[in-house]
Amino acid sequence: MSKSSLLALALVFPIVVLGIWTARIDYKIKKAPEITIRAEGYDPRNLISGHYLNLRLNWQETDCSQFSDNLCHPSRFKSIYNYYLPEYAAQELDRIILKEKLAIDLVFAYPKNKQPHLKRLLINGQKWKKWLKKRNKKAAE
Amino acid sequence: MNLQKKLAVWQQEKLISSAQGEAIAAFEHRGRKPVLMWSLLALACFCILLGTVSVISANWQEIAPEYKLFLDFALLALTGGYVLKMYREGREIWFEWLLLFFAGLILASIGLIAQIYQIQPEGLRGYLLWAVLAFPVMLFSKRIVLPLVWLPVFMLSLIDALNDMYFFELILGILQKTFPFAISIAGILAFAFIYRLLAVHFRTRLAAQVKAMKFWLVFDISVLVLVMDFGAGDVFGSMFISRLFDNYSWASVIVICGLILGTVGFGYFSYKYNYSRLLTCILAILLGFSLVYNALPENKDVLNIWGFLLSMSVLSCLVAYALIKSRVKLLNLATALMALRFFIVFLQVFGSLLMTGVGLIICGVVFLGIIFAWRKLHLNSLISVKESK
Repeated sequence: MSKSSLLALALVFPIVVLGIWTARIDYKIKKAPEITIRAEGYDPRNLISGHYLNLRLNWQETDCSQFSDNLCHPSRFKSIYNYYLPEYAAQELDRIILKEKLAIDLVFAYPKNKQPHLKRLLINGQKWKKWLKKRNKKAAE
Repeated sequence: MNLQKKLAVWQQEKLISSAQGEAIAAFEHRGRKPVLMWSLLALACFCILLGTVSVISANWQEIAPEYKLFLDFALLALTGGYVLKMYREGREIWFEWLLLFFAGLILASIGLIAQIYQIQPEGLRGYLLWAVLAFPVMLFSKRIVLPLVWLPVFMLSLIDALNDMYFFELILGILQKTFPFAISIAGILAFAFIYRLLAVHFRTRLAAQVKAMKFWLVFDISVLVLVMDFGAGDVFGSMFISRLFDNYSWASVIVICGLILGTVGFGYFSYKYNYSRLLTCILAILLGFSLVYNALPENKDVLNIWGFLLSMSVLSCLVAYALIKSRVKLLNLATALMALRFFIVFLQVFGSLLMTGVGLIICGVVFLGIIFAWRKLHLNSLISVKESK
């Protein structure tokens, strides 16, 4: 095999691997059933680190009937999750979460034998983006 | 004095003819690298990259995740295609810069996928994935930049990943309890073995990669010498709690024997290659001093003096090597560092007039030795020039 062909393979390799990785995650997320778990700010002094929220799962306030055996399974989850946000939202949410008491939920894809995968952040039962938009609209009025 | 002036003086002194002068000037001009062009090219690439990132960032939230991913993969494929084109056309500079850009894009893609799919960070796994994905393209680089970046990223992320494994943790635990710096010395020894293997079998095919390994090996050893010299009492003070003679065990004996055998083995199997004897000597010095540190009292002055002796031993090895191999620059550097270390030890240890006097006498004797070494090297080079004539 010529050097040029080897280089072509070397260049294709990361693209193929990243493609398969993305497809696998996408498939896993779309196929697995969803469950919603209550969360809270992990450390009020460092709630927002960079562009993500640090959130700790709150199993006391979580509805365990979502699980097939009606039992919560905290061991299958991490205790703290990072939720990536755009910079402007991260700063705004930081201010709001510190001031107001909000119901924060994390929605997970929950495949049977694989690790749960974080999908969405809900604030007061709504997608965070929608909730923030509504709130800003109200404030403007 | 620049080359033109030098040539004019040499011609005046009848050392060279005008034809020879012109030939030398032409030769030097040919060998000159287009530094300005390279710098401008780097600046242009950087500006375009930064500008693109800024434009995308400004509208980032407006772009749907699917489009982001599509654009990312399209950019990866496009850059990959151009890398291949430049390689086939033999345009080396463009090939190297695009290869570097491609490697950076792989990392950016990992970040983007992690961000879109909310993938939770696990230590340095993202960097390990990058190192694995960029490994094949890194092998094609003929310049040192990409291998130089790739190597520490791979090593650190690999160690981070291995750290989660019970087996690796156990080995580290045993090494840490054996004697101070055992982990660092074992790591450097393993790295030296890999470097030697690569240097022997792939020196010409993977020249840039071997050079990068050499750089990091020298860097690691230098840092370890500095830490052992200046930080033994402070940074690693806690290590003195678990010393060999306090916590004697068969595991410790096996580790020490393994490290001694490893050092001797390295010297034995690679003695005929460049730098190997020097490297073996330095590794042996580091190992020996670590074992001595193990038995030292926790006294700052004692640690300072042993640290000084360690640095001087390593630098002496460098001086001896430079003398044997007639490496003038290395000799100058090593002797200058020796002089600097002497000055520092005065500040560290010598307080009384008596001690200062003793220190000055030792200092003078060492400087005489350095002058002798310089003179010897100068004479050797003169003899070799005469013989060649």
